[in-house]
Amino acid sequence: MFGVLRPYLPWVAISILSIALIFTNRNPQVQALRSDITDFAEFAFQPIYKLHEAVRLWDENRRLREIAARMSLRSAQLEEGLRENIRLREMLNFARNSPYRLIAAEVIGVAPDPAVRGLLIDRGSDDGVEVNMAAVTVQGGVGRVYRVGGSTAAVQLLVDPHLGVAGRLAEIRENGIVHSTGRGWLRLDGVPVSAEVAAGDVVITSGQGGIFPQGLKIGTVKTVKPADGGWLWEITLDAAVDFNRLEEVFIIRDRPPDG
Amino acid sequence: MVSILRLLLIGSLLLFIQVGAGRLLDISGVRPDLLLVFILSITFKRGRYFGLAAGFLFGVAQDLFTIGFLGVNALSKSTVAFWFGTWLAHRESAPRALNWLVLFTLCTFIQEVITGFFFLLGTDRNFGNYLVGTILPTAVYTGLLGFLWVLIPFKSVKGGKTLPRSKWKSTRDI
Repeated sequence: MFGVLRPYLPWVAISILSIALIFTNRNPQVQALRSDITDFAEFAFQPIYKLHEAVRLWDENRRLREIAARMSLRSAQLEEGLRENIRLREMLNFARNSPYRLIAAEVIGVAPDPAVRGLLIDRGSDDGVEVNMAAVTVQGGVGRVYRVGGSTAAVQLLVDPHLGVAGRLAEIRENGIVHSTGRGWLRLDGVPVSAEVAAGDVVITSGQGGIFPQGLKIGTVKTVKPADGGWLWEITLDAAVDFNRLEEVFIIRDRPPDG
Repeated sequence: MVSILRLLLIGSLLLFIQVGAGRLLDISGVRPDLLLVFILSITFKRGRYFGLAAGFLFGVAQDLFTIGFLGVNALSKSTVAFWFGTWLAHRESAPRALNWLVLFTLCTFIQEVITGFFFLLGTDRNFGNYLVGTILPTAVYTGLLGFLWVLIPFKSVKGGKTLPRSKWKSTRDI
């Protein structure tokens, strides 16, 4: 019997010893010894822990950079969307309150004629656009339609030197003609020096040109000085519309009566 | 003597890796038992009593450096090594290469069950969840690593060649 069991005695002995060790776990001295050993192990393994942490942080840094870039792009898109929303709300409000029938159009490019300073819009004869219709924005007058296609049209801007618009000083009701100086500014011609003009006065359309309805803002007086000859004022204007940042315009379908 | 020192050195290195750098081998919180693979390979080469001693010694060392009860890994590793060696002692040929995958997995499973029994004593954790969530993944992971370990140094196990007993375990074993 003993001979059969003898090969297994070492295992029995080791197992008993192991179980005895398990029962010593509550011994304070054993706990103190294990505490010292684990403290030493923590100290010895610090470089490995730090290396692992460095790798983890590098990977997290790369991932967070990607997220930050995506969020930044998303934020820029949202800001642009918000700006467009505000702009379109203004346009909608303008269209609702306008006494005229308007055709909303988006600026899609620069007019193809090199001799004309103008814009290309995404509305044409199919949408009811005709030549000599006025183009306006919420800020004021923009120009006139000078060429029409089926689905597009070209608008000649007020700052084009070849376009003149019948204008009026809003306060003193003195009429004149608004032209471009050729350098992006507007000027009001034909106002006699007897008229009391001051910087800041508002210039509007008079409605006498046959294109623009009366009352559309063109700009404000910037400088006033006597012109050569001394009979008339030389008046420069700050345009109401920023012609370099046009994205949407309205085409006025109804024309004002002459006079 | 030299070979024993070499084994102690390799075992200490594996203990260092297991305890200190084991998290680098983690896959979703599952860590392989490199020490057990080493102990089983010692058992294969030198017999069940050598494996028993190695299992106890390195098991105590592992218990000292980790949380958990002192003596649990010593009991589980020495037990698995001894009975693995006993099974080997009754074979005429070394197991085939692919069988080592099963053997390592099974041995790790048994060792983890013994360890898990003491680990869950006094807790309200469900053994079934522990079996599925920890024991089985650890057994599979260790089995795969052990299989790779065996393929490289133990060329004699490839193809299941029949070897004399003196070539692959201690003649004093039986």
